[in-house]
Amino acid sequence: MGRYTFLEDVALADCAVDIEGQSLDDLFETAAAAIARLMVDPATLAITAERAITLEASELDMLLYDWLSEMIFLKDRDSQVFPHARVRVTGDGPYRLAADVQGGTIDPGRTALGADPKAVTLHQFALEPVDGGWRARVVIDI
Amino acid sequence: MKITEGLRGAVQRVDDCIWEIPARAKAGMLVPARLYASGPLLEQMDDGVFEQVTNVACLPGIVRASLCMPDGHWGYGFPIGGVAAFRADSGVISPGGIGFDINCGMRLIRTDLREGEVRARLQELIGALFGSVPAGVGAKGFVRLSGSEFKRVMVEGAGWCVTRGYAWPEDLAHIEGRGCLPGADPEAVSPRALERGMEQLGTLGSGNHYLEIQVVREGAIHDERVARVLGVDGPGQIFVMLHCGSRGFGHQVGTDYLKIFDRAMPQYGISVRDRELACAPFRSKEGQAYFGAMTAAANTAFRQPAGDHAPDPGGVLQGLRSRCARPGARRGLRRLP
Repeated sequence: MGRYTFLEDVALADCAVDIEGQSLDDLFETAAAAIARLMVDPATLAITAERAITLEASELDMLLYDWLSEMIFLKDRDSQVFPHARVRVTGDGPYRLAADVQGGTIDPGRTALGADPKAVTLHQFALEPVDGGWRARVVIDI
Repeated sequence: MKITEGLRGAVQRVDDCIWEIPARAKAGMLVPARLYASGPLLEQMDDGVFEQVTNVACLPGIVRASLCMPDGHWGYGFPIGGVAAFRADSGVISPGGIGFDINCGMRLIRTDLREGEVRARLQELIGALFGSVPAGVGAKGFVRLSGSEFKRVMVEGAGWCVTRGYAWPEDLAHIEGRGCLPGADPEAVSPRALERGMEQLGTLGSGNHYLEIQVVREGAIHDERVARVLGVDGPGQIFVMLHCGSRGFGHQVGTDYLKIFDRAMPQYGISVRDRELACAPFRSKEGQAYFGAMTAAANTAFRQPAGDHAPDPGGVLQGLRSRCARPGARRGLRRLP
């Protein structure tokens, strides 16, 4: 898996994260892990749920926006967080995502809670190819 | 967001606490930017404020000036503390200007409780409040509504609480617009926003949302007349303060229309300097749909039972009543304007 770094000096009251992946699929998988880590300590989350997710967007960066927004939506609607994802991104505009995700339901008595993300913002939002893979910056409103 | 060179240096003093960045300071500005702050406050404002307040000055239909209040700091699209008026006939509407936690704000509730009786049971009270006010990641509210009933909340706002017994009728007099803004259009709200909103009714949230039990301190009353009107009796009196808003519902409305506007702008010949300023003409079908959905979200914020605008912040009162009040007594609980 790629790596993610939470940034302290970009969004004072919110959360900025840099995400790197060796491939586009890897970046999306890493992004799911990052936003899950923001919400809970995954080590305290029982992995009991699986889902298949499909998304489509006319622009590649908006596909990432939609992907992370989906994770926030599932947290709010179903109280579920998905740290693990297998993602396949295809297409050349429109772009399509097919993912299988694994996670679990937040148990306030067991799950160590983190921040409560409300939305993905377009502030400094970027997704770009770099040497050896892909890189993204996302600021999440919490 | 790229920072334009020299914007801070372009600030001119208009009055003791009024500063202006002229419209010539940045390409595309239609009006000047005005900042209201003392000298020291202005110096402390980050560069993002000057960038964002001048970006707003570029939006179509803006009237007279892009304003920034003394609390100005970096936000999304608009600076926090940013204010702008747009012509209804030729101006735009932007989720970045309204904010995403639509109609968030603070609410103060007075009580007749005294510090001594609360402090004696503080631990117990805190436990009761945590138990009765859902907060944090994944928390669900105690109100369960059907989709059609939730749409009534969107239209009726705080009035809905009165009809359901979550509020005292007199509370409406203490809420902006009696807790209901006209023009809500539930049909302009996406199914996704509906699902998020229904699950979060009555939750406090996290981040900068909070609930505090506060006490009036000696020397803290600066205007006796206003204090009397607000029901502030004197030192030792207990108040409850909350900050909440439309929560995930408002954010989903903002997210939905940010994307719709992002796609629609080219057809209206609009370009913005920051994608968070995505907008549409107020009179366009997209603009009117957002206005209807935004108003619906604002009305739901008025009725958050554990939230700032609630006529009856049920969980809070339940916690206070169960630990500190005589059975059936209101103990002077009254919402303040």
